[in-house]
Amino acid sequence: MKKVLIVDDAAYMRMMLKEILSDHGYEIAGEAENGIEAVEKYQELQPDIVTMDITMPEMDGIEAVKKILAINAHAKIVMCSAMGQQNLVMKSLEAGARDFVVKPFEPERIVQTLESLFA
Amino acid sequence: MTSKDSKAFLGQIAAVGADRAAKSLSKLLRIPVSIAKPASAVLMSLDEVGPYLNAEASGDGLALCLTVLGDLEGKVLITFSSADISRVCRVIPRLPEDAGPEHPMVRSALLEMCNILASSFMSSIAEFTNLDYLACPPEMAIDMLDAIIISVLADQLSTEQVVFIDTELVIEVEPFQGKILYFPARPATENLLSLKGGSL
Repeated sequence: MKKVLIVDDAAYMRMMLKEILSDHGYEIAGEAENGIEAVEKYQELQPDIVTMDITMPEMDGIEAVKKILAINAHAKIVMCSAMGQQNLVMKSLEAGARDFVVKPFEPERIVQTLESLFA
Repeated sequence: MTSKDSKAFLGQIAAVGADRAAKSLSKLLRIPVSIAKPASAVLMSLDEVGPYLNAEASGDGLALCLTVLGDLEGKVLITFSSADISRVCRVIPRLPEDAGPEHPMVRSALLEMCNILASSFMSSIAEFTNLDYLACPPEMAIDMLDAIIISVLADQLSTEQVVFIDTELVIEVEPFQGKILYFPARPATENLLSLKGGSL
């Protein structure tokens, strides 16, 4: 079972993602509500994949991507962002994120995106 | 370009934003959402804005506010009347029953809904006009709508006349209506109208 770390400052989005991913056979390794927590939890939990919001307090998702990839250059990170943040999404991909999904997302879309990283 | 033409142009821009916002809200809530009336641009003094909104939604209301920066700098407000607050909480998936907006999970869901709705609205306007914007984290306020409006706009719009875009979405399975109001700052208004060679 693949382990996922869910990173989003919105508790509601974390709850929705946990439900979707649990229903599709993923183990929720943990969750974080900002970039700093994300980096700490990544080190501690060693998840197979990370879903990462972009706009967050303390440390944003782009910075967190860079720090996680400094820990593990092969880390699999998928960005989750609201529409209209294309510039930030591009920066995330340049920083090393593997893919992105736009909120609001269909459950199938997020699952397909994650599965494609293990294909 | 006359003031009437300018307002018509802004209304056209609003219609583009409202259409995408309705689709995004429908996708988030997984229920049909439609646009209640054609989006329009309104020009009035700041003092008149509160009464204008309260005429349709008297008493306390809930406002979710997204500040946007860049070419389209301004405030996007999603507003509901007090009567509609509990209705909107009922249609958001997976929320605790009978929980109000003070509940942390409901608050989080409402803010996320604001983020998604306002971002859809603004991104569509940005694409249509080729102007850019950057969204800040959303905020929430519960009070008389006119008081919220004055408070939200006080730091930004000191001019006598304000222009704003007024749209209304309807959730078809509940008797619910919510407004999306976009208050562009003066430079953003000028950016928008310069596309058609007009001014206020």
